[in-house]
Amino acid sequence: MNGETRARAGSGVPRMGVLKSLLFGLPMMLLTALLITGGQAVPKDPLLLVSVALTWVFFNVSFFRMLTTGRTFALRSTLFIAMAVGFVITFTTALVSARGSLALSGADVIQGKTPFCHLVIPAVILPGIITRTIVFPGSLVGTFASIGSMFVIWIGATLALGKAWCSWICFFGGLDEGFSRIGRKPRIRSISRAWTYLPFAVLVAVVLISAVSLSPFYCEWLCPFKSVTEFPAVTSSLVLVQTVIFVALFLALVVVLPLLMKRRAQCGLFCPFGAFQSFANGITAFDIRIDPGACTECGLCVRTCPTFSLTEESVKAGKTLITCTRCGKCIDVCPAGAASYHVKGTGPGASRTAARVLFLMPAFLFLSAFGGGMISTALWRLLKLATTGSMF
Amino acid sequence: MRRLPAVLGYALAALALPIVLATFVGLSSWETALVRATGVRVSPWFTGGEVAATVSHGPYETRIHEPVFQALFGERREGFVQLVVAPADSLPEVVDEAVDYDLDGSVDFRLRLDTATDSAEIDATDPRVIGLQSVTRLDDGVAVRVAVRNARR
Repeated sequence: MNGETRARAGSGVPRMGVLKSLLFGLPMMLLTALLITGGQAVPKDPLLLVSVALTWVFFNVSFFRMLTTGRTFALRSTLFIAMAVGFVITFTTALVSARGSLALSGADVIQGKTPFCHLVIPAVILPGIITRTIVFPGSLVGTFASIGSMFVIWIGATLALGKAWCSWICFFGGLDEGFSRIGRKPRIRSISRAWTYLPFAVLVAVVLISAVSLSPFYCEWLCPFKSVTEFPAVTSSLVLVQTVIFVALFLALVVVLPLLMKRRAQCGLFCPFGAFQSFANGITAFDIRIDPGACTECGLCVRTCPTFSLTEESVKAGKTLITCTRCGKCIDVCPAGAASYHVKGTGPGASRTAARVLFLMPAFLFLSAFGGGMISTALWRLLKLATTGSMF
Repeated sequence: MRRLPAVLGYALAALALPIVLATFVGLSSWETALVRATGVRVSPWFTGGEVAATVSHGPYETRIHEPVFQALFGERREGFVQLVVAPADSLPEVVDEAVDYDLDGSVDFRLRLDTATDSAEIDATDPRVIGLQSVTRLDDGVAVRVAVRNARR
């Protein structure tokens, strides 16, 4: 354990003193200021200035507390959920402002006005390689959520963080996580392991059908988040059926099951992008290690892992499954202090603090760069609503 | 040699932060470079394909796109051809036009488009023309898609 101070008795989470936390926090304060403002000058609109400042404080206080308390999950989760709510407000108001409606029209499709989203990435790669075309009605560069920009963000995140995307960057995952954190006791305590393979089956189906049909099958038929972002204008009975499916999937996978299980049902049991991103865990420097010598086999981490990424077997083997999203829950709940962030290649005697800080800094920075703008813009819209009666 | 994996691990871990910074700081340059390097385009099933010919009618023009039959491998038996009449503020009440979509010198169908109601009729003179698929009001014009059979299949 290297003599590091622990967050609480029996915990394996290293914490830092205030001065050391400030030392690591200061560069983050500067970088988040740069990234949240997008490198622009101080906003002249006082409401926007307040929103940006509050967002910056929110992020940096959270990071500072991650370092000083040694706790990750709850602080990350608060930022993550705020990003998801901020995304929904920012995205929907931007669409209404730009095109007057959340509904996606035929004209939007022809003119490439559909914002690209990372969930469709696995479906566009195969036809992209074979036909050199992207089967998505967006624009390639230079617009809000263009195909090119989302691919660059995804590549950067994948190289740096692997599947940590799903707990630090995905603006949809925060909705799932938000509902899973309402209430305390799960009504559904365990499920068959077989269900955790479903995302991989959905992934294979989505990739193959999208390739054969040259259309984004997941977006057209399976995306639960159409319910809270944009959706096709209901102009036929076919689109009506699609809309019913979107709403039903959202209610079942993002609201009801997370409420009953206290775990991220959509992310862990359905999301094809999450399944796809699991393979990225192999190329990053970070993972979670469980010290079998310290583990008391209480099973708490297995029962509470939000994305079903631990089993008794994997714990005995000292590691998580490939679906692990580095959310920090197992580390924070382990009463024996057996779980910790880990840099691959390092041995059992390596510093837990170094591994944790090396992971937290890029993960937090990505979250603040990606989510900061969403949260500050959402705050600005809400402040506008409160002061002028209109969000626009 | 036992230290080498640890050194490599820490080196890779330390690279994560610069990667995140580079991702966001150079985002607009990276996206342009990525699209240019891969040479990808948006699928013609959405855009309507490249413009093959433009017919001027004085105040407005008709852009005839290349027929879209794209498949994962090869081509499909059926697809569509897209016409765009633009600009919107110069369109007559009715666009009545003989269209040679395959540019072989003979008329393939006659299009009658009511620009007030965005409704259209197709009078096919070529057996490959299946019928009207959709009429869509764009920001600056009207797009008409006509379903056609692929002559190469």
